[in-house]
Amino acid sequence: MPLLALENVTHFFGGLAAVKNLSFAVESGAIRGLIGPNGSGKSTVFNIIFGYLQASSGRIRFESCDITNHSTPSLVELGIARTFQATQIFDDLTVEENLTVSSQVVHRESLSKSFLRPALLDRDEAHLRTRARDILELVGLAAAAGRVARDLPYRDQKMLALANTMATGARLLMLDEPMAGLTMQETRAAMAVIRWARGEGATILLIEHDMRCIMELCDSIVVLDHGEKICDGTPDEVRRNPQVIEIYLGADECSK
Amino acid sequence: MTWTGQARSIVAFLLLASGAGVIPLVTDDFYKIDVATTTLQDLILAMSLRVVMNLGLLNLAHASLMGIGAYVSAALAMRLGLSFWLTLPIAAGTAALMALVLGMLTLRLYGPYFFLLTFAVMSMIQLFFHSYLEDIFGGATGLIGVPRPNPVGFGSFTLTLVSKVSLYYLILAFWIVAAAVLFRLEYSRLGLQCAAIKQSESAARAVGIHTIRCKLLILTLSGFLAGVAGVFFAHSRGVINSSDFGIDPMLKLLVYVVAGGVSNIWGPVVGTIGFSIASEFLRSFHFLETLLYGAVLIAVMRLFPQGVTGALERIFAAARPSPVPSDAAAGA
Amino acid sequence: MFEATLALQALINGASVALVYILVALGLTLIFSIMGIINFAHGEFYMLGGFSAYYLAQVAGMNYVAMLAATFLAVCAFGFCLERLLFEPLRAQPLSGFIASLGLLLVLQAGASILFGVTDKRVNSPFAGVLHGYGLVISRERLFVMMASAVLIGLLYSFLRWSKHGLALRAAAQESEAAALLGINVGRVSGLAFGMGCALAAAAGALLAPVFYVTPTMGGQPLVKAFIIVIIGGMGSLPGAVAGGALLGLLESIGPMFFSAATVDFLGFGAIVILLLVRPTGLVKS
Repeated sequence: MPLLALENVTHFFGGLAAVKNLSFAVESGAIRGLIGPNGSGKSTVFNIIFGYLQASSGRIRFESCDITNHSTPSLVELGIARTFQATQIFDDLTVEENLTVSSQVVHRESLSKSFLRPALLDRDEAHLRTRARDILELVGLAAAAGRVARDLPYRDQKMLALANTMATGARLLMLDEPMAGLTMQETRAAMAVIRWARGEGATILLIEHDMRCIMELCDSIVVLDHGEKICDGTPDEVRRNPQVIEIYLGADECSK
Repeated sequence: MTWTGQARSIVAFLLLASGAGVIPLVTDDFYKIDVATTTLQDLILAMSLRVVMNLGLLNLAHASLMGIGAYVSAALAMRLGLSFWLTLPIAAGTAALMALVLGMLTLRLYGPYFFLLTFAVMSMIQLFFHSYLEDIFGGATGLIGVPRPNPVGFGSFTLTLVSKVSLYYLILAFWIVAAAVLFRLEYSRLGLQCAAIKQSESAARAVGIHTIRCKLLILTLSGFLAGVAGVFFAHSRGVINSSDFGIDPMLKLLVYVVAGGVSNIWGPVVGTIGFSIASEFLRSFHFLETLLYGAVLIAVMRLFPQGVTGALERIFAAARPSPVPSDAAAGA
Repeated sequence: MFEATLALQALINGASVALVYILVALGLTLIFSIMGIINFAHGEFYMLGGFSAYYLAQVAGMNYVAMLAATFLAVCAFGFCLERLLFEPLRAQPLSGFIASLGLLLVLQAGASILFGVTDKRVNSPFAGVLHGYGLVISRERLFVMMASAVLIGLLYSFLRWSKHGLALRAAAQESEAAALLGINVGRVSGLAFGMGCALAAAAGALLAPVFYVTPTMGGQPLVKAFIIVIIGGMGSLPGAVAGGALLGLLESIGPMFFSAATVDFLGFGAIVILLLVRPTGLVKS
C-alpha cells in the first residue's frame, strides 16, 4: 500500500481548475519528484494535501487513513510535514529553540504537561535532544545552536526550515523547492541531507526546478502541466517523454 | 527564554513580591495603600492582557471580562447571600467561560478583525449591565453595598478582611498566584509554543502545534484572571458601575501593556507601575493624563513598538559580543 | 393613518441624521479602501468639525457655507499630514496602526477638552423656521443638512469617478503596486484619501453642529454608527456605505417606536458581531 495516494483530486480556483483530476501515489521509502512549469499547480497540490486549500473533489489517503481536508496540525501528528517556498522559521527563537518547538509533536504530550515541563531542562528528554543535535550536525548548524534564527544567512535559514521539518519526526516529508537560491555546493549538501532522511526511514515528495537535482535524487517523478498529470515515471522515462520536452522547451524546439 | 533569563525573572519576581509585602509596614498612609492596592489589581489585569496580546490578539473586551467577574460575584453575594469564597470561583469561571465562547466564535472565523469584534462585544456587555436585569445588576446606578470578603477561619484563628491593609494583602496574594502561573507559562513548553505561534502561525501549524487550541487556552486563562481582578474590585470597593468596565479603563490597560512591551513578561509590570506613579503626579490634570496616554500609544507604535522592555532588550543585545558563525560559513 | 404620519415624521427626522452618518461612514470606508486601516479616531474629526462650526460660524460669524469649505480643506490638510507621518509607516502591521489610531483618539479628545472646555456649546442655525406639508414638519435647518449632505456625497462621487486625482485614488485602492508602476504617487494618493476621509467626517460634524450640542465627546456615537454602516455595507465599499446608511437610518427611526434606546444600541452592536462573524464582506454586493 502506498504511503500517500491522491485519487482524482480537483481544486477550483474561482472558475479555473488549478488541479484537475489528479491521481498519483508515493511509495514508502521513495524519493518522488513533482515537477512542471510555473503555474502548473505544484504548490497547489502541496497546499491541498496539507490542508491549506480544500479539495473540490477527490480523496487523499495517507496509508489507509482518509486525510482529505484534515487540519494542518493533525496532519503533522499523523506523520506528514512540509517546508515552504518562502522559508518559514521562527525568527526570534534560537536555532535550538526552533528544533525544540518542532519536536513537540514527536513528544506527543498533553497541553497541561506542556505547562508543567520546563522547555529546556528535562532529564527525560535526553534522546530527543541527541536527535535534535544529530539533525543540526547534519545540516551544518550545530555550532549556531544558540544563534537567533533571524540572524542566520539565507542558506542556514533554509537548512533550519528543513531541520524543523525533520524534527517533527514525520514519515512523509513534503519539500517545496528546498534548493532554491542555493549554490552548487550548498545544493549538494542539501541533497545529502535528503538522502540521509530517506535512510532514516522517511519518504520524500519533492518540488524542485533544478532538473539535475531532480534527476539525480528521485526514484520517480510526476510531471504536471496546467494542473494535470502528463507523465509519471523514472527519471529516464521522464527525460525522454515528448510531452515533457515540449512543455519545457516549447513546441518549436521539438519540431527541429 | 534562556535558563539564565528564567532565573533572573524568578529573582526579580521574589524581590517585587517582598517589596510589595513590606509596603503596609513602612507606611500608615491609607491613600498610598489604596494606590498600591489598585496597582496590584491593575498588574493582574495588565499581565493577563499581555499574554493574549503576545499571541497577536487585541482583546478589547478584557475589561468587560473583569466586569463580568465583578458583577456576577457582587450579584451572587448580594442577591443570594453566597460567601465570597464561593462567588470568587463562580464569577471568575463565568468570565473564563465568556472568554472561551468569544474565542470559539471568533478564532475559527476571523484573524484580522478580532479587535473590532471584541470592541462590539465590550459595548454589548457594558450595555447589558447598564440597562438590563436591573433587579439583579442595579441598572444605571450599578450595585452599591457589595459586601467585603467573608472572614476565613483557620482552626481557632479567624482572618477578617475588612481593613484596607488586609484587603491589600489579599490582592497581593492573588497577584503572587497569578504572576506565578504566568511566569510558569512563559518558561514552559507551552510558552515556547505561544512564542512560535506569535512569530509565524503557519510555521507553527506546520510543525504540528494546534494553534487554535493554544489560543483558546490562553484566552480562557486570561479571562479567568481578569475575572478574579474584577471580583476583588467589587468586594473591596463596595460599589460597581458599568462605566468601570468600559473603553476608558480598557484603553488605560492597553497603554500599560503596549508602553511596557508586549513581548516581555516584565513589560506590563513596568508599564503598570510606571504609569501608576506618573498618574499620581497628574492627579489634578485629568485631561492631561489622557493626552499623555494617547501620546504614549502613538509614540510607542511609531518609534519603539516593542515598548520600554523591548528597547532595553535591544540595547543589551547590541552590547553583547557577536555570536559564533555557522559551520558552512566557516568552512566555505 | 395616524400611525403612518408618525412613522413618516420619524423617517424624515431620521433622514437628516442618517445622511450625515453616511458622510462619516463614507469617510471611514474611503480610508479603509485605500489604506486598509481602521481609524478609530475617525469620530474625533467629526468632533473637530463641530468645534470648527462653533468657532468659525458662531463665534467669528463666518458664512456657514464658507465655514464648511474652510473646515473641509483644513481637516483634509491635517489628515494628510497625519497619514504621512503616523499611519503610512505603520502600514505593514494593521494592529499597530489601529493602536496608533486609539492613541490619536485620546490625544484629540483630551486636547479638545483642554483647549475648548467641556461645557456644551450651542451653534445657532443660519436657517430658521420650519416647513409644513402633508401634516409633516421639517425644519429648514434639517433640510439644509440633507441637501448639503447629498451635495457632498455627489461631489465625492464625481471626484472619484471623473477627476484625475479621483481615478488615481481608485487605482491605488485596487492595486497599489500596479498604480505605482503607472507613475501614480501612491504616497500622495494615500495621504489625500486619508485627508478626504477625515474631512468628510469633519464636514458631517459641522453640518450637525446646530442640531445637537458641540462637546469634546460628541465623536463617539457617530463613530459607532459609521462602523455599523461600514460593516453592513462592506468595508471599503462606497456604495455599500450609502446603502448601509440608508438601512441604518431606517432602522433607527423606526426602532425607537418599538424598542428602548438601549435595546436599539444593543442590537446595533449585535449586528456588528453577527456580520463580522458571518459576512465580513458586508450585506451589499458590490
